[in-house]
Amino acid sequence: MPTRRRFLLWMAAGIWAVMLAGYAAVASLFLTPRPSAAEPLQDVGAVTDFPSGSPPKLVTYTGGGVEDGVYIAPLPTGLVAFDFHCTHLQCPIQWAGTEFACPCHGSTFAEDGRVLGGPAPRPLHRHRLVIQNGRVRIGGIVS
Amino acid sequence: MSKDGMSDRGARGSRAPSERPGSGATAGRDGHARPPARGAANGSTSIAVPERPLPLRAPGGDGVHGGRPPARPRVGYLAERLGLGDDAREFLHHPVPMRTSPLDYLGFLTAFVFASQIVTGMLLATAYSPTVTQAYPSVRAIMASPSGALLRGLHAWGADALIILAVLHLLRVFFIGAYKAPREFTWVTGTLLLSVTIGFAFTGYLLPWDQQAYWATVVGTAMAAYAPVVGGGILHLLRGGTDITGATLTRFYALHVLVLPGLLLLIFAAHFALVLTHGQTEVETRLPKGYRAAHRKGDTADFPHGPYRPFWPYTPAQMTVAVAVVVAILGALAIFVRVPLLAAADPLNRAHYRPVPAWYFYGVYQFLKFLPGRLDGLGMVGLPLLAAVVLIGLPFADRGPARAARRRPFAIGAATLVVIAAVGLTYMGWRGSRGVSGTATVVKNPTFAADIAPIFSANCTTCHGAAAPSGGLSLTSYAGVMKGGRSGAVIKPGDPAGSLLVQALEGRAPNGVPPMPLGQQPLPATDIQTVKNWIQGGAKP
Ligand code: FES
Repeated sequence: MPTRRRFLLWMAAGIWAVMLAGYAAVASLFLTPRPSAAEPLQDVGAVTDFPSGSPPKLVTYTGGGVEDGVYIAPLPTGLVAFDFHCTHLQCPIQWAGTEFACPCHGSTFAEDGRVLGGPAPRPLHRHRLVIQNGRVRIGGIVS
Repeated sequence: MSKDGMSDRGARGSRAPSERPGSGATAGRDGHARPPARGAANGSTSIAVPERPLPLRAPGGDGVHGGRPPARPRVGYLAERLGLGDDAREFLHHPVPMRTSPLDYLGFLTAFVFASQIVTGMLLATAYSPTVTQAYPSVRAIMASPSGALLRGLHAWGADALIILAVLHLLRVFFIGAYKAPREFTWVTGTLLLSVTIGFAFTGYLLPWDQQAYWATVVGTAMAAYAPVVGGGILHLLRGGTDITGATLTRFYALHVLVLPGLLLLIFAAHFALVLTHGQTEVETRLPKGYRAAHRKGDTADFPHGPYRPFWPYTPAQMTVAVAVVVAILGALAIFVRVPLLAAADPLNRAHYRPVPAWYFYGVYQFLKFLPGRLDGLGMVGLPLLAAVVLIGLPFADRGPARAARRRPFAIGAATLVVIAAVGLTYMGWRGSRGVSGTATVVKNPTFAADIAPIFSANCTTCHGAAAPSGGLSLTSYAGVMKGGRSGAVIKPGDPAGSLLVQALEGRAPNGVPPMPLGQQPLPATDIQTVKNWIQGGAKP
């Protein structure tokens, strides 16, 4: 008798656990956004818009229903797209003549995204950047 | 004690047969042969607080209000059908201490403001549209009508009031030791309610979709990313992507109007049931005026129930007054202090808005300023986590029976320090977020130390002052100011208009140097003129 009771109890508990896990799995699948590297590419201009030697330039595009922006910097190694959110707490950075500056807690970043000062823990995030037929196309954050 | 004094004593006394079986059974299991009253153990009072009496109008009809026939009491139509008859009567006439404090009603006030939030929130939801393109215009439209502005005011101020009241309620419960056995789970559910409240505030903040809402949420969610290992995932999940977008707005809206209210009602039901089960904690030393003297004289005719009186109608009347005060304050705030609605959210921040956190984050922000950057994660994730663990674990860790503050010096001292630190940090953060200016009037012949340095330290040195100052320019010392930065010297003594520093302050600097202070309102003209006068006079130390 006790064995049967215990069996029934475990069976009920097991069924509940499976059902709950099912709901949880569907919820997490549904809520997890797709990886940012898979975001569709967006055209932001011609390669000639970013001549080497010019300062980083903010370009905009629409993503997720809102306007988004990246700084395109013509580095000696080629064009690089920097996310324009500070890596400290994501305040919007701004090109300040000689470096990127963050208005919130004073982090500064070099033209190549290195941290120059302030509390930022890592270099500026970079976006995927693809050049196709002379056009610059930007994707999600890759590093 | 496993139950509060009331039911213990109830079990000892002769209870009417109508007594709830549950309470009798619980008390009966362990409720015999106890020392008389808690007050007796309390060293400072010479007189023992008498036991809390039975319901002050005992079924049988000899209660304070008298007049009941000794036969079976009449039960109302509804009460009978709802099966509440005796319970309800017992509840209404249960004894409460005669002497009360407004602080006793903090919990009730919190619940009331919650109810008010639900009503105003439902009304706002009839006009609000949770999409990127429509959210801001719909809030604009709400604000355009007087009743809409009033509603939003009530809801926004109510949110602040809720956090304040919930925290005060928590502190009060802590300081009178009311979280101790048998009320551990009342405390735990209470702390859970507080975190749900913060969740409400945080998700609600984004909904107007103006600059303040947008950027405060960018920064607020970014803090989550500092959690080790799971941080990035949490951030991604919260935002529904890497950035704050339409997906985030929809998520926050669903949380704000569906998920959190459901959670809240569940936890609140448990909290309230526990409060009813255990009653209010008595503050031992609190006796009504004149009670001591009367007791000493042996003439307590004025106190037929000892220091107690029935719940009804005294407590509801006092609660009503307390609620009226809160409603009056909220109403006045909603009418006279307009809740700002800034420009629509601009994720590109073309206008160089400088993000400011919601006020309840000021303390954390201020605290972060004292931490070296490497420890940011500790302040942003470790500290709140520690606070949560300490709060929830408190009644299980602190199991001493003493409730009186002077017999818990360590707990009270530590909590007092925490409160002072939190209030102080919040105040400092608030001051800091307002960009205090150095001088109110133009100084004719300013000196660096007395007039210029204060302006710089109030507005500039957060960035131009660290070990690696922005642009290589440090404004913390005279030498640093004169040395200049990567763009060269910033001061040309005798030539204010030609000095890069003045040009930046006036927003007309060349070579991409942005207007300063970065992302903030320009300095007051008086301050700029003072700086100019100083340069004109030779920029001396
Ligand atoms: S967010 Fe940029 S320095 Fe803190």
